[in-house]
Amino acid sequence: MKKNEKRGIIISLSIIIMGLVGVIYTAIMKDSVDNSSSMYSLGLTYLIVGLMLILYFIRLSKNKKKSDEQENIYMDERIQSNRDKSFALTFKIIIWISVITDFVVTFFCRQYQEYASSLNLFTGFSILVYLIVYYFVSKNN
Amino acid sequence: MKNRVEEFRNLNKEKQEDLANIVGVSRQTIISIERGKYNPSIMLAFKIAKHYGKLIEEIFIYEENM
Repeated sequence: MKKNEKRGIIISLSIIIMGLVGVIYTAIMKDSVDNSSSMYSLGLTYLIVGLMLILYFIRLSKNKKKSDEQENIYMDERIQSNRDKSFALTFKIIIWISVITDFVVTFFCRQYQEYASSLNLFTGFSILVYLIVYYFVSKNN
Repeated sequence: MKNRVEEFRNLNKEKQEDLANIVGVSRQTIISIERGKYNPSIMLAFKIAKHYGKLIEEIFIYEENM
């Protein structure tokens, strides 16, 4: 079994366990938990998605040709580069939206000041995480 | 950067899929390289050149944009 298939099965199992915990917890505690029906359906959804994923990875590991194709796609440098670029661009967009929203709220919509401070915290924390990650990445390159 | 990947692939009578499997990328990446839309990493360029028994500069031609 290939590394990406093993990883997929571990992720699927985690989703199944989370779903099972949700379903069992709400089934036992349904009288004392608010929104138990929505928690139950969320757990059930996790369970179904996890089962579908695990079936997909098991079937994939048995089909050598398809498994090789999937590994090539997973390891493909162009796809990895596109993924990295998309992540970086998404981060930039989110930070810029946060900064602009912060500015607008702080100077023009003072009634939403509370939301602005939460947003400030989020933006500041994201930039801090970015700087830490950048430090470790550049240390190895 | 120009390249002669398609030319060498055709000379070897290979499909894009065959080359993709040999150098360990997706067929879509080979298509992008052949169309000049994607410049491969130095590792991938070496793998392609080695597969055809050529030097990198025989397959990938550097062009300076003036």
